[in-house]
Amino acid sequence: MFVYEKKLQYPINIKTTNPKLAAIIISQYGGPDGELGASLRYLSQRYTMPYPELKGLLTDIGREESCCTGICRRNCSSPSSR
Amino acid sequence: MQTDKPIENACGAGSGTLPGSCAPLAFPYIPMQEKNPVCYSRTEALQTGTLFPGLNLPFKAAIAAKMKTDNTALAELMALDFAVDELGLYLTTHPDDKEALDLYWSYVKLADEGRAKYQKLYGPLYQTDLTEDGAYTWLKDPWPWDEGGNS
Repeated sequence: MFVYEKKLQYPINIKTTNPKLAAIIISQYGGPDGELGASLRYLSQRYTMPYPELKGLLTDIGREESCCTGICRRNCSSPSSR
Repeated sequence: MQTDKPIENACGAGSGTLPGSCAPLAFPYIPMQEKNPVCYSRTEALQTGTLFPGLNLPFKAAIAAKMKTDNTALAELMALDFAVDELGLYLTTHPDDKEALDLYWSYVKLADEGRAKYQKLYGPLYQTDLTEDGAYTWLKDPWPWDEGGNS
């Protein structure tokens, strides 16, 4: 179900770190109405989906929603800790 | 005692207010992507953020400048994986598009080769990747979030 690959999907180049913005982004990601919760809802909704294409679609969306941690990670670190 | 009387509103249940008058709450407009869509090259796709010119709808205020990518084994692998990802999403809703499927397999093959090339240069991408002399190099820095682990 989950396979970790030791590389980013997309190159990231943060020119200015911004902890305040990072806090907002991270709550959008893992907060009460965040991507992480949405991702799990999509992945659970698959189990009662009768149409093959839509099983595939819910799998795609659930996967996409759950794979953006890298962005938060990079934005949170201060220049001194990198 | 509370009754089930609907809440008084100037607009009906299916509408909301604009400055001045009522309007339907939403008009979703979602066209289906056509078969055999035009594709960017894989590098251009990675720099643009989509493989399909038809889906490239940047914000009006956004600067049109494309993201620069380095000419490294990692950037090449990212571009290949991104194209595979994009085509995979497309194929979920267009499984009968033979042309897209052929392109998909050709990118999958190239990505496999790119992955092997990257591993030889920089070390394992998966913990289970076999290393040349059986050495355990999985824990070696840099990780993707470390300085230099992203290029």
